[in-house]
Amino acid sequence: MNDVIIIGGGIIGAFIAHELSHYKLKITLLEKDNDVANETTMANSAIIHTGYDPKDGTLKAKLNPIGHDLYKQICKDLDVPYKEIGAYVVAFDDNDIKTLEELKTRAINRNIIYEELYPDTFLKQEPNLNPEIKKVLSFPTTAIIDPMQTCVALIENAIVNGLKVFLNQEVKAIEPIQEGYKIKTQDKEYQTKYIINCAGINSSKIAKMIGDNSFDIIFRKGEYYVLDKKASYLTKHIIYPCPSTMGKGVLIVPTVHGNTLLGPTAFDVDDSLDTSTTLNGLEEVKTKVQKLIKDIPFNLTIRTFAGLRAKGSIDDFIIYENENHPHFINVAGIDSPGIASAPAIAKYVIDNFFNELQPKENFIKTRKGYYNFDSLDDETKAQLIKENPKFGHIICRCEKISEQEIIDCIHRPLVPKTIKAIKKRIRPGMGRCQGGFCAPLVIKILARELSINPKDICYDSINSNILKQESKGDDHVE
Amino acid sequence: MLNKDLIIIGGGSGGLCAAISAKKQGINDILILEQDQEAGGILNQCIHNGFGLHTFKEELTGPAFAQRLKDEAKQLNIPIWLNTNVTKVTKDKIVTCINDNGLWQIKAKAIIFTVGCYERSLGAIMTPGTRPSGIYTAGQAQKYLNQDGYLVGKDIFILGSGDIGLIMARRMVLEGAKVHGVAEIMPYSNGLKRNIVQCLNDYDIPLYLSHTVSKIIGKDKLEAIEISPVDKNLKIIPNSAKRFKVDTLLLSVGLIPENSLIQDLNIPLDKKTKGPIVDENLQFYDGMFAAGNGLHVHDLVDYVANEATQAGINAYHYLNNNLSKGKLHKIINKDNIGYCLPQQFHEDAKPFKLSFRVTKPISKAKIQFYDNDNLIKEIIKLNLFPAEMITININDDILNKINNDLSIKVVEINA
Repeated sequence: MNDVIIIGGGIIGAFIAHELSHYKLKITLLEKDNDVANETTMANSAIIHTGYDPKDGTLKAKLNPIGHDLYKQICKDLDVPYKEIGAYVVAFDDNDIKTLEELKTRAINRNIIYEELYPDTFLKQEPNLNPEIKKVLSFPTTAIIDPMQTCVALIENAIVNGLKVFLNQEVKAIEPIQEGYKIKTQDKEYQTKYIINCAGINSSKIAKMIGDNSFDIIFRKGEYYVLDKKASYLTKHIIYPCPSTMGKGVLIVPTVHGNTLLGPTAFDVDDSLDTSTTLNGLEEVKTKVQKLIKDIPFNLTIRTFAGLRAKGSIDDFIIYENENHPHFINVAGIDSPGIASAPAIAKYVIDNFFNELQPKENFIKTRKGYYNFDSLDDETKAQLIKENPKFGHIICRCEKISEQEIIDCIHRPLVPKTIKAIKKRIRPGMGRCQGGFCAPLVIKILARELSINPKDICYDSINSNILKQESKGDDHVE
Repeated sequence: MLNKDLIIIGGGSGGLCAAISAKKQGINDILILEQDQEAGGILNQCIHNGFGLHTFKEELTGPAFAQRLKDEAKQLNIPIWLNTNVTKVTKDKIVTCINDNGLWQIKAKAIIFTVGCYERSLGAIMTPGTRPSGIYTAGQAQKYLNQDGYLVGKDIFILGSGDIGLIMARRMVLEGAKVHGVAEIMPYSNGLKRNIVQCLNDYDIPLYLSHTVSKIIGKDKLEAIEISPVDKNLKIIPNSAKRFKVDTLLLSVGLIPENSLIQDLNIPLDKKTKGPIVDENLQFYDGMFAAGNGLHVHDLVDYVANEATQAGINAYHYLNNNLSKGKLHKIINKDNIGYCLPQQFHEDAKPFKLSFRVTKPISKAKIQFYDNDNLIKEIIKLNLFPAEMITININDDILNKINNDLSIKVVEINA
C-alpha cells in the first residue's frame, strides 16, 4: 500500500513528489507517457513570473509570488539553470498605460520589485524595441528556467529520496477501498491512501473517475516559434505586450539556452491531443511579435510547435480535497502562472491536506546537474577529457554535446530511453540541424548503454520506433 | 601550442582535395581536422554512382570517390585527425579543437574551411501540424539505410525535389518501400535533370510541382500528410488538400552551409549563399580560405573538388606572399542572378572562374557584364536552370575594362 500516489509527471506532479519525498512516506508517481515532462511542461514559455499579474484575492495571486521566491534556491540545489533576466511589459497608448498602472498597484501591494521606464532608458537597454512604445513597466526579478530539466531534476532527486516512478501507466479507473483507493491502469493495479491528481489537461477526466464533475479543463492551444541562438541579439529581457483576458499575450522570450521563443497564441480546442501548429496561429504570432520588435529574423526559425495549457473552468487554480472522497486531492487548472507558482503549490498541498508528516533525517537535498560541457572553459574541458576521453567525442555538432554527457544523462535515477527524452534533458537535436546529424548516433549510444536492439529505440511513445527493419538480414549497427 | 603551416577544417571531399593540392604545391606541414570517424564526408553514405565523371573520367560511387582521395592523401603523408571537433577559430588563426586525446590549440599560418553543409529541417519550413516521429531529412534516412542498414519506413512521401530527395526516392523503392510522391513548392524541380529521369520517372513516382506539404497528421507516429497546391506567391491554396497515408516524410528542402565558426568570428556571411564572402582567391579574411559546400552548395562533387583544389593552390601562394592584393571590386548581382561567386576580386586579379545561379529556368539568355552602367561583354547561353551552376571564365578582356564594380545580368531572349 502506497501512502501517496501522484497522477501525472509534469512539473506540478514533480514539485509535489519532490516536496513529499522530504517526509517518511511511500510515494509513487504514475505517468501515462513514455517520459515525464511530456505535455504542458514541454511546451510553454518557461517564465518565472514575479506575481503582479493575477487578480487580487485569487490563489494565483497568493501562490505566484511565493513560488517565484522559492525558485532560486531550488534551482541551485538541483543544479539546473535559473536566469533572472527581467521582463518588460510595454505600453503603446493611454489604454495600455492605464493597464500598467493596475499592474504597478498590484506589484506595490505584493512587494514586487518594479521600475517605470521611458524611451530614453528602455531603448538604451533594448535598442530593437519598437520605437512607438511609450512606456515600459520593468520587472527585473522575472526569471527563466528550463521546465523540462527542472521537472526531471525534481523527479531524479525525489527518486534518490525514495519516490517510485512508473511510466506508460495511464490511469483508467479509480475505486475507493477501505483504506483509500485502488487505481487501475491499462495493465496494473495500485493501492494508496492518498491520491494527488496532477494530470494537467487530463485532470478533469481523472476527477470524474470518482464522480467529481465540479470542474472542467479547457484545452488552450499556444503556438510558438523557436529561433536559432544567432537571434539572441534581439532582446535581453522578456518582452510582453499589455495583458488581456486571453492571457499574457504573444511574447518574445529568451531561453536559458540562448534561443528565442516567440508566442504563444491562445486558441481553445476540443481535442486534448491536438498539439498541431496551424497556418493561422503561426501567422498570428508573426504579426503580433512584430509589433514588439519590428525586425525579427524569421529565417532563423529552427522549429515551430504547439502546446496545450490546462485552463480550469473556474478562473483560478483548482486545488482542493474532494468532499466525499477524503485524501483525494485535485491540483488542476494550473495554467499561467503555473510554473512560477509550482513550488508554492506543492507546499500549499502539503500544508493544507497532510497532517503530522515525519521529516526524513537522511534527506538528500542536492543533485549534480548535467555537465554542459560546451559552457566550460578550455582548461576544465581538457581536464574532463583527460579523465574520460568520451568528453572529447562531440555527438551533437550544433549544441556541442559530447558522448559522455549523453552517457551521464542516461545513467541517472530516471533513465531516459528515447531520443526525445535525451533531447529534452541535454539537447542533442535542439540546434540548427534538428537532429539530422546526431540522432543516428544517439540511437547507437542508447542501444549500447541500455543493452537493447537499436530497432527498439523509440522517438517518444512506445510505438514510435525509428528504425523499422533491417535492410539486409543482419543487424548492421555496432 | 602546436604550429602548422596549413590547417584544413573538414575532411570531406573538399578538405581532402584542398590538402592534396596544397601538398603537391609544396606546403609540407598540413593537418586535416575531421569530426567524423572517417574522412570522406557525406560521400560515405552516397552509395549510388555518378560521381567523378569530371575528376576521374569515370563513374564512381560516393565511397569509391572518397576512397581515391583518401588513398592519395595517405600516399602524400597528409595527417588527418579524426573524431576531432573544432570549437573555436580566432582571427590570428589559432584553432581550438577537441578529440579523445584532449583539447588542442594549434596556430596556423593559413586555414582552409571545407566545413560542408547541413540539411534544412522541418522547423525551418514551418509546416503546420503535429510533430510525430517518422519525419527525417533525406540525408538522415540515407545514413540509416546505407551506413547503419535500417529502413525508416515503408510508405514514404518526399517534400522537396533536391537531389538527395530524388536519390532517396529511388533508394527506398529499391529497398521495398512505396514512395507515394514528391512535392516541390516551386514550378520546377530543384534537382538535376538526370536525377528526375533516373530516380522518379523510371520508377513512376509522381512529382507534384507547385505543391507543398500543408499538414502533418499523427500524434506519436506519422499517420498521414496532406499536400496542397500553392499560388504564385507560394501561399497554400485553401480547400484543395490531397491526403496520403504514409509512415514517413522525407525532407529534401535545401542545404545550408555550416558556418558557425566563421560567424563566431563576427565575419559577415553572404545572405544568399549563407557562406563567407570571398575574393577571387577564395579568401574571406587574411589567410582564411573557404571551398566546397561550406562556401556555397554545389551541384556535383566534381565542382567541389575543383574549387577546393584551387583553394589549396591559393593557400600555397598566400604562404609565399604571392596572392593578388590591392583594391577590391565588388561583383553585383543584377537581373535573374540568384547568387554569384566570388563576391569580389582584386584590381590586379589574374583570370578566374566566376560561378552563378539563375533565379528561374531560362531557355535562352544573354549574360551581360557591366562596369557600372557600361556594357563590356555579352555571352549567349542556352538552357539555364537554378539547379545547375553556370561557370564563366573572367579573363583579361573583362578585367582590363573594370574600373568600378562588376555587375552581371542575365537577360532573357524570347524565342
